[in-house]
Amino acid sequence: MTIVRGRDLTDGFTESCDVVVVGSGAGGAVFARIAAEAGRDVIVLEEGGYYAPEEYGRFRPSESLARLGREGGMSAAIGLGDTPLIVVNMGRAVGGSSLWTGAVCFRIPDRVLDEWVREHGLTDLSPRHMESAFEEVERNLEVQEVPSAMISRSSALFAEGGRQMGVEFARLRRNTVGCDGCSRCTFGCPHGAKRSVDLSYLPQAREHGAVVYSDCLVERVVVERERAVGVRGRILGPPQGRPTHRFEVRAKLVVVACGTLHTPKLLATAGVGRASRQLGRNVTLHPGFRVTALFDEEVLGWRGAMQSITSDHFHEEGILLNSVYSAPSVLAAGMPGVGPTLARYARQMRHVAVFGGMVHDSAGGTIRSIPFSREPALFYRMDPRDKARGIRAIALLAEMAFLAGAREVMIPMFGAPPIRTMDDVRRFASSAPPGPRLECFSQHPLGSARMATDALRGVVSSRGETFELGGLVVADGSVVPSSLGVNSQVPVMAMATRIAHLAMEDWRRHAA
Amino acid sequence: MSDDETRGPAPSAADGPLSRDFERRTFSDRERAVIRPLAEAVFYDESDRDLSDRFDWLVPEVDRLVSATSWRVRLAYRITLSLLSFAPFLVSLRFCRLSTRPVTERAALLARLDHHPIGVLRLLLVPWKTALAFVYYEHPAALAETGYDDTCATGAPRRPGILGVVPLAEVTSRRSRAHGGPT
Ligand SMILES: Cc1cc2nc3c(=O)[nH]c(=O)nc-3n(C[C@H](O)[C@H](O)[C@H](O)COP(=O)(O)OP(=O)(O)OC[C@H]3O[C@@H](n4cnc5c(N)ncnc54)[C@H](O)[C@@H]3O)c2cc1C
Ligand code: SF4
Repeated sequence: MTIVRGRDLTDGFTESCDVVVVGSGAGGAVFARIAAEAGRDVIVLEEGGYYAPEEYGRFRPSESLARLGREGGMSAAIGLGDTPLIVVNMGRAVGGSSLWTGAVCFRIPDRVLDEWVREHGLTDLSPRHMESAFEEVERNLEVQEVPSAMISRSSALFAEGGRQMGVEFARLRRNTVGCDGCSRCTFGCPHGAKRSVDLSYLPQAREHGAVVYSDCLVERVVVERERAVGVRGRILGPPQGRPTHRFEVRAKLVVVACGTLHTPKLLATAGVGRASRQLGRNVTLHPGFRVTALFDEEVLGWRGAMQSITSDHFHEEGILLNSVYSAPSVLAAGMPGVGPTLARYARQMRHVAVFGGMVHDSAGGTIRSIPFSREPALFYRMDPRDKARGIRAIALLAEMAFLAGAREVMIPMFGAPPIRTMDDVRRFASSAPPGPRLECFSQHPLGSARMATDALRGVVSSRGETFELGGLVVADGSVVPSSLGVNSQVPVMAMATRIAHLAMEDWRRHAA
Repeated sequence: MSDDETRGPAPSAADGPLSRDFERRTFSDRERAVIRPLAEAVFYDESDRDLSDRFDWLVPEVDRLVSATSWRVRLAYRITLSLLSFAPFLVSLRFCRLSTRPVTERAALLARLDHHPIGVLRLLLVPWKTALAFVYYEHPAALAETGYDDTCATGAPRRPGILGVVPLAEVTSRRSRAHGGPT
C-alpha cells in the first residue's frame, strides 16, 4: 500500500479515479483490495493517521488510545431509560478498528444467516451463498486455531470454572501468525503477528496500485444528476489535527466504509435515508461485561494470547463467553476504590484473571448528528431482556471465578465492593441493579445503514448499493442487518467481500 | 518543564524516536494545578516516598490523552474537574478546594465521594480515575509495582516495513502513468 500522509501535505489536492473508498478499516480495506485486483484505479481516504507497525508496536496503551483510537478510547453510547452508559471502542487510523481487535475470528453463525433469509428476505445471504466469502477472508487473514501453549492461565482458570458448571470451552480461531502471547492485541500488536488489515489487505491492494491517503476527513458525498460522483473533505493537519486544506476525489463508484457510527453522517450528506428513515437506526452493540477475579496463585494473565477460548453454551440465553485480558493500566483503572485501597488492589496484578461475556442484543441504538461536532451521538435503549442477560452473564462469570478458586471477585458495577462468596453472587443476581450502575463496553457497533430488501426497511440492498442514490455503495459494519451474537470483524469483512465482488462483476453498470 | 522533557517511559535510544503527534492541549495551567493534587490523592498509598517525578510526567500525558477526544468529551472532563475541585463541599459541606487539603485528607475525601449515596456524585470520579490510571500505571516505576513483568511493549515487529509512506507528487505521477492521471 502506498501511503500519502495527509498531515505532511502543504496544500489541498484534486484527484480522479475509478473507485474511492472512504475509511480504511476492515470493510474499506477489503473493498479496496478486491477493486484494485480487478484492475480498478483505487483511492482510499482515511480520517485517522498512519503509523507503521514498527511504530505503533512501541506505543504505550494510552498512546495507542490517543493516536489509533477514536475519542481516545472514550466514546460512549448514552443509555436511555434503565440502560448503562456503554463505552464503545473504535479505531481511527489507517487500518481502522482492525488494529484494535483481540484477533478473535468467528463466522456469522448459520442460525443468524438463516434468520436473515427467513425474516429479512435476504435470500442471497444464506450460509451457502456466504461460504466462499468466509473462506476468502479466512485465507487472507491466515485464521487458525489458538495453539494450546498460547492459552493463558487466566483463560485456563475460566475454562476450569466453566467445567465445574458443566460448561465446555473451545479454542478460539484467531488471525495471527507467530503470536508469542503478550496480550497486547487491543492496543496494536507489537510483533506484527496479528493480521490486521494494514498488514494483510492494504499491502495486497498496493500491489495492484491502490493508494491510501491518511489524515483525510471526508465531509460530503458529491452528487450530480442524482448520482454520487465523488467526495470532498479536508486534510487534518498540524499543529492540532484540525481541518485545513480542501481536497476532492471524483470517482465512478463511491464506497462508504466509515464504520457504523460515521457512515450515516456521510450518507446523509447525499440525502440518503430520507425515504426509509432507517438511516442511523437499528444499531446493535453486543454489550459486553467483564469480571475481574483475584486468586491466591500467581496468574500472570498477560502471558498468553489475549483471547483464546470461547463457549456458546448459553447461546439460547443470548450470551457468548470469551476469555479476555487487558493492559495492567486498564485493569487497574477498573479496580475498586482510590488511594490506599486502589494501590493495594493494583499491586495484586499478578494474581488477576479476567473473564468476559457479551450479549446478543436487540437493535436499541440510534445515531444522531450533533451540530458543530464531528462525533455523532449514539443513544442506546437496552431491552429489559438484554439487561437481564447482562446480569445473568455477570453472575455466571462470577460463579465460574469462585468455582475456579477465586478469593475475591470484582463485578462490573460502579461503587460495588468486591464480593467473596457464592451467596454474594446470588444476592447480586437477584438484586436487579439499576442499568446505569453497570459497567458495560462494546467493540462491535453494527447496523446503522442496514441491508434490506427494500427502501422502507433498510438503507442498502443486498448488493450494498444505497436504495436512494446511484454510484454509492456501503461496505462496512453499518450494513449488518441484525445482531450477530459473535465478534464482528470477519463477518464485516465477509459481507464487504461479497459486496465488492458483486460491484466488480457489475463494473460496466457502475462505470456507465 | 516542557511536555517533551516529561515524556514518559521512553523507548530505548536504539528504537529511535516516535513520530510526533499533533500538539493538542486541553487544560490550562490552572486546571493542571488541580489535576496534579487530584492524581496524588487517587494514587496515594500511605507511603511518604517522593513520587513527584511520576506526577510531573503524568499531568501532561493525561492532558494529551484527553486532548485526543472531541469537544464534548473534553468539556465533560473540564466540568467534572471543576466539580471535583469542590469535593470537600460535595462530601462534607466545607467551603475549601480539594487542592488545598493535605494528601491524606484528599484521599479520604475522594474515597467518601466514591461511595457517596447520591449516584451522580459517585460517578463524578469515574472519568478522572479512568484517565489517570490509564496513564499512571504506564510509568515504569508504577507499572513495576503492579508486578507486571513483560517487556513486549518494545519488541521488534516480525513483519516490518510492508507499507511505505511516499510524497504526493510521486504518487500522482505514478498513478497518471498507470491510469491516465489526476484531473
Ligand atoms: C477494541 C476492539 C476489539 C475488537 N476485537 C475484535 C475481535 O477480537 N474480533 C472481531 O471479530 N472483531 C473485533 N472488533 C470489531 C472489529 O474490529 C470491527 O467490527 C470491524 O473492524 C468493523 O469494520 P468497519 O469497516 O465497519 O469499521 P472500522 O474498522 O472501524 O473502519 C472505519 C474507518 O473509517 C474511518 N472513517 C470514518 N469516517 C471517516 C470519514 N468521514 N472520512 C475518512 N475516514 C473515515 C475511521 O477512522 C476508521 O478507520 C474489535 C473492535 C475493537 C474496537
Ligand atoms: S498476543 Fe501479543 S503477539 Fe499475539 S497477536 Fe496479541 S499482541 Fe500480537
